[in-house]
Amino acid sequence: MIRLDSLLRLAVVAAGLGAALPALAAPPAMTRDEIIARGKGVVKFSYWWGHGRWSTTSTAYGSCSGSCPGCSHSGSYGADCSGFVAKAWQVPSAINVTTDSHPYSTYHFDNNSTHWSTVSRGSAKKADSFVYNTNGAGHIFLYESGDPWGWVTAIECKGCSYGCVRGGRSISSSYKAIRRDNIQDFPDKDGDGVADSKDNCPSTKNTSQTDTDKDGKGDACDDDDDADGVPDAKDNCVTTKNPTQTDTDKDGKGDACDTDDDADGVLDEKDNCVTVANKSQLDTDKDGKGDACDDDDDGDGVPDVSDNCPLVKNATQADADKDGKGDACEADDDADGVTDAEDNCPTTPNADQTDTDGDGEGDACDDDDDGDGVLDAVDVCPETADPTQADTDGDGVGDACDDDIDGDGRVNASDNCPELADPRQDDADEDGIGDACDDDIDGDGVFNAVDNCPTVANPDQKAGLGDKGEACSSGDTGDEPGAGEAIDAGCGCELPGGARRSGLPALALVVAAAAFARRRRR
Amino acid sequence: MSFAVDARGRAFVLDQVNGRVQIFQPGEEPRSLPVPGDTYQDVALTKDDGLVLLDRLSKESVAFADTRGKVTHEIPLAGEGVPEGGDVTGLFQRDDGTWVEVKHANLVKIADASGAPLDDRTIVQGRFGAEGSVLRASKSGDRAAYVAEKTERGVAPLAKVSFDLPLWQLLELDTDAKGRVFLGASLMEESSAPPFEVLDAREVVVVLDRHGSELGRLDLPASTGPEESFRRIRVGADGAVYHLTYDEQGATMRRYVL
Repeated sequence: MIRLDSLLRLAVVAAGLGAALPALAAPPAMTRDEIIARGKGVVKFSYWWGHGRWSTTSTAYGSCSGSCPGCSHSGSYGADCSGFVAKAWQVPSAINVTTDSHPYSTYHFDNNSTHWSTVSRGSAKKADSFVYNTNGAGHIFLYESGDPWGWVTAIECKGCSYGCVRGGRSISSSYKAIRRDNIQDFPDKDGDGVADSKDNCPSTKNTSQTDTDKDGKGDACDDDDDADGVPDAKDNCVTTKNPTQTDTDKDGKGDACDTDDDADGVLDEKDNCVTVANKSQLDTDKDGKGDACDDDDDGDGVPDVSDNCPLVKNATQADADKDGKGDACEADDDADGVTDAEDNCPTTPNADQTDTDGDGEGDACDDDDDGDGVLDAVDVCPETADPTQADTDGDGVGDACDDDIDGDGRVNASDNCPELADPRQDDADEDGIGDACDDDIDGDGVFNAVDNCPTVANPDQKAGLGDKGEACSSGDTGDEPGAGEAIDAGCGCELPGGARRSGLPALALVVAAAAFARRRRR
Repeated sequence: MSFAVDARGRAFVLDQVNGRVQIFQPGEEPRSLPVPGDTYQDVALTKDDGLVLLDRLSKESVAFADTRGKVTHEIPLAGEGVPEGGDVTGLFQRDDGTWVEVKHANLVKIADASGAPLDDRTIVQGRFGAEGSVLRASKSGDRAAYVAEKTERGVAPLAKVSFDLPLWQLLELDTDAKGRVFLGASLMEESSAPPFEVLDAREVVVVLDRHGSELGRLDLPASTGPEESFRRIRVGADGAVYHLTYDEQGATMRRYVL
C-alpha cells in the first residue's frame, strides 16, 4: 500500500513557509544505541494501522482488533510497522515519539532512498532495518542484534494480534537491509565492544571494564589496581588496598585479602583468634575470644598467669589443700572444668566436650573426630566426614570443610568459580559464572572452544582477519562492535522448485499442502 | 508457522494465521484442530497427543491443550533463564517436562512432566544430544558452522561444517535415535553491489555421525515469499527429515527418508 498524504502535507506546509523541504534535509545525527533505545519504547504498545506514536510514561497501550487494514483501534497510542521505524529512526526529521506521525509506508522504505540506503544483508548492523514490499503487502522491522544461528533480535510492530514486540526471528529472502543516513559510529581500537570514548582501557581488551580503585583506569591496564601504592607485580593483595602489606602467616597473601590470616585452617570470619593459630578454637569461658589469645581463659576475673585454676572459673581462688591447685579443679585430672566421671576425654583438656562423630570419645582424644575412617592426623577435614578427602586447592583443608575450595581468596558463597582459582573474578558476560569456568565467556551463545572471539560477544561469528572474528580483529572497520553486530551475508528470492542434488539417497514424499492466508502489513 | 512430528510419523502443522493445527498423515485426509489464538509460533506434542503451544511475543506463555485443542492451562515464559518471552527460539517436550530454548544457546526447563510450572528452573547449555551430551551450533564466519558438544569431559568441537554458499541462518539442530546429528541451514548469496539482489539460495541438512564425521547432505528447496517461519525442519526419531516450505500458493510438507 502507498501512502503519500502525510508526506505531501509536509511538503505543502514547508513550501508555504519558503523553507527547504524537510525531505531534503538530513535526519538528525543519532548513534545506533540511541535508535535502539528509542525503538524499545514502543514494546507493548498496540498495532495502529497508519499511525506512529507511543508514550514514555503511560501504560495505556491501546488495543487493536480485526484484520488490517479493516482493523479497529482503541486508545491514543500505537504504531504500525513503518510508522514505528520512521519514528525510531527520526526520519525525515526529529520528532517526539508522543506526536502522531506516519511519513512513510513500507513502499517508501523499500523503494525510496532519501534518508536511507540499501546495504548488503550481510553487513547489516544494529539499528538498520529489514523491509519488503511486494504486491501491496509489506513489513519492516528494526534490527537490534544477531544470535549464533544468524537469527535476529528485532523490534517491530508486528500486526494487530501481536502489537509491538521485541524478540528473535528469522528473516526470509524477501527482505532487504536498509541503513538510515547520518548514523554515528564510534571507534573501538581494542575491539572489546566498548567505544574508545567510554573505554577505561582503550588499548587493552577488557569487556568487563573492571576498575577496582575507581581511578578511571581499568584493572587490565592499571599497574596498581587497588591504588595502595604497591605495584600489582609486588602486591600481596592485588585488588584490596593494603599499603602495609601485613602477612601474619607469611603465606604470600596479605591479611587484607587472606581469609585465614594465621593459617590455622579456620577462616578469619569464624576464627576466635584471628592472628594466633588455634585450630581447636578452644574457648573455655565462651566469651568469643579463644584461649590462645585470651588472658583469662575461664573468665573468672583472675588472669591466667596467677589463676590456680586457669580453666575453671573460681573467682575466690579457694585452695583448701594449699597445693597450688584450686579446689574447683581438683577432681578434674585434665583441668578442663569437667569432672573426670563425666569427661569424654578425662586426661585431655576439652572443656567444650565436643564429640563430632558422637562415638562417646571427645574430639580432643579421638583419633578420628569425624568418624570417616581417616585419622585426624592426615584428615583434610578432621571435623567433617569426607572419605574422599578431595582438596582442590591443595591447601590442606578439604573441600568438604573449605570455605574457599579453590584457594583464590574468595569464599565459595561469593566465588563465581568456587572450584577454580580465579582471584580476579572476571565475569565478562555478567552471568554469574566466572570467566575462568565459563564455557561461554562472552555469553554470546557460542562455546569458547569454537568461538572466533571468545571474549567479545559476537553471536553472528562474522569472520575477520585470520582465524579471528571481525568483532575482535585488529584493524577492523572501527565500528563499535557492541553497536554493530553484523549479520552474515546471503539472501535469496528466486529459488528452485524442488529438492536439489543430494548427497544421500533421499525419497521425497509430499505429505500434504496446507493453505494459509497472508496478512498485509504496512 | 511451525510443526511437530510424533513417533507415528504424523505431522502437526501449526497454522496460527488461521487459528488451527493441521494433522497430516500419508494416505489419510488431514484433520484440523482449532487453537484459540493466532499468536502461537511453535508447537510440541505430549505423550498423550496433547498440544503444547508457544506464544512468546503476545502472551509470553506456553499453553497446554488437550487432544481437541482446548487449552487446559498456561504457564509464563519469563523467569529464571528466560529474560523475555521474545528470547525463546524453540519449544521442546520431553518425558521429564517442557523445555524452551533461549537465543539458540540454553535450554530452560519451565514445567515438569505434568505441565506444572517450575520455580527452580534447570538450565542446560545446549540442545540435548546423544548419551547425555548437549550440542550447540553456531555460525563460523560466512560459510561455515560449528557443532560443539558438551559432555562431562568438557566442551569440544564435534564438527566444522562448510558450505559452498554463504550461510544465512541455521535452521535446525537435532539428533535421531541412532545418535546421528542433523544440522539444517539456509544458504544464500547476494550480489556484491546495490541492490544486492539474490543470486542463489537453497536450504541444506547436513547429517553427521555421533563422532562428527559427515555422512551426507540433503539439499532442499528454499521458501519464497516474506512469511516468517519458526521451525521448518524437524527430524523424526527414525531419522526422517521433515521440511516445510511455502510460497504464494501455500505451504508444502515433504518427508525425506534417509
